[in-house]
Amino acid sequence: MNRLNLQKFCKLALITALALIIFTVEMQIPNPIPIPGVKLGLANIITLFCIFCYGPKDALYVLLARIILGSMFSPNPISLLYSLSGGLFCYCITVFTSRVFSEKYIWLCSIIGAIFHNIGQIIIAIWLLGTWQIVYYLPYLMISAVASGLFTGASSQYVIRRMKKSGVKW
Amino acid sequence: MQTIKKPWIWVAFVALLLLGSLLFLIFGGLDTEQSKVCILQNGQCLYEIDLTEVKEPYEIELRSEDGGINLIRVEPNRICISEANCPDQICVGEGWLEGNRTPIVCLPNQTVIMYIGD
Repeated sequence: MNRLNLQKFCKLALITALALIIFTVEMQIPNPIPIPGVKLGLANIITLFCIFCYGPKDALYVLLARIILGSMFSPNPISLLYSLSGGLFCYCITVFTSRVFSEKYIWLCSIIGAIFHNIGQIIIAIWLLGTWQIVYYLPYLMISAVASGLFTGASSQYVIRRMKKSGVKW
Repeated sequence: MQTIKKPWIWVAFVALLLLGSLLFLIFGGLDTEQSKVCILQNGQCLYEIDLTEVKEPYEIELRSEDGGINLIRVEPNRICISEANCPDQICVGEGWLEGNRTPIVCLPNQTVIMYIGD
């Protein structure tokens, strides 16, 4: 491993740690809305940051490391499957949207990503719970996706713009 | 791939989705007249109850293979999870299932309570 790779490796490890911290802190926040699947998804700020600043490949490493390590902090093991399906659905669509939208529209990428995240979770829930009636959660989860996606996307856009402006080499 | 400078079609798509979901919920797209509910665990229907035929309130204790417990309260025309040992307690917070198609779900214990057709 040459010097440049090692430097990048360390940065990605640092970012993964950051994503994990955000992930575990969010788990401690009590959920005021009693609908399964509704959450802020703050860790998506990091995923978006990685996709836009490092590219899809490195973002996938960070995402997978965060989900697998994060599930160890989670009290129920089944949540790994939900995080994985939602995370990968969101990742795939965001890789596409990050290429066609300019950096002014990261918030939109995030909303579309959140919508797909929730669709992915509904699909895995239908499979795990053995009933298609979970689909009736779709309207609730779409509304929550737009709200939380807008928030995380706006945060991410702000972070990326600040990072680029500050001239710090990332 | 070409960069889209003004992705207004996508904004419109998101707005339509949001509006559609809101209107669907406001105009009762999820209301149902059905009276039979089914209690599922791990995809298997364990209890089938006709809520209109319930006279006295009673409780069912549901234990899953890996130690999950859901205490289900059945009352005339309505049903809920009154207690559970899952970490998130979302299933308890969901309250009563009463004429609404959205099932009560406890993800950690793999429990679902939903209306079924006659």
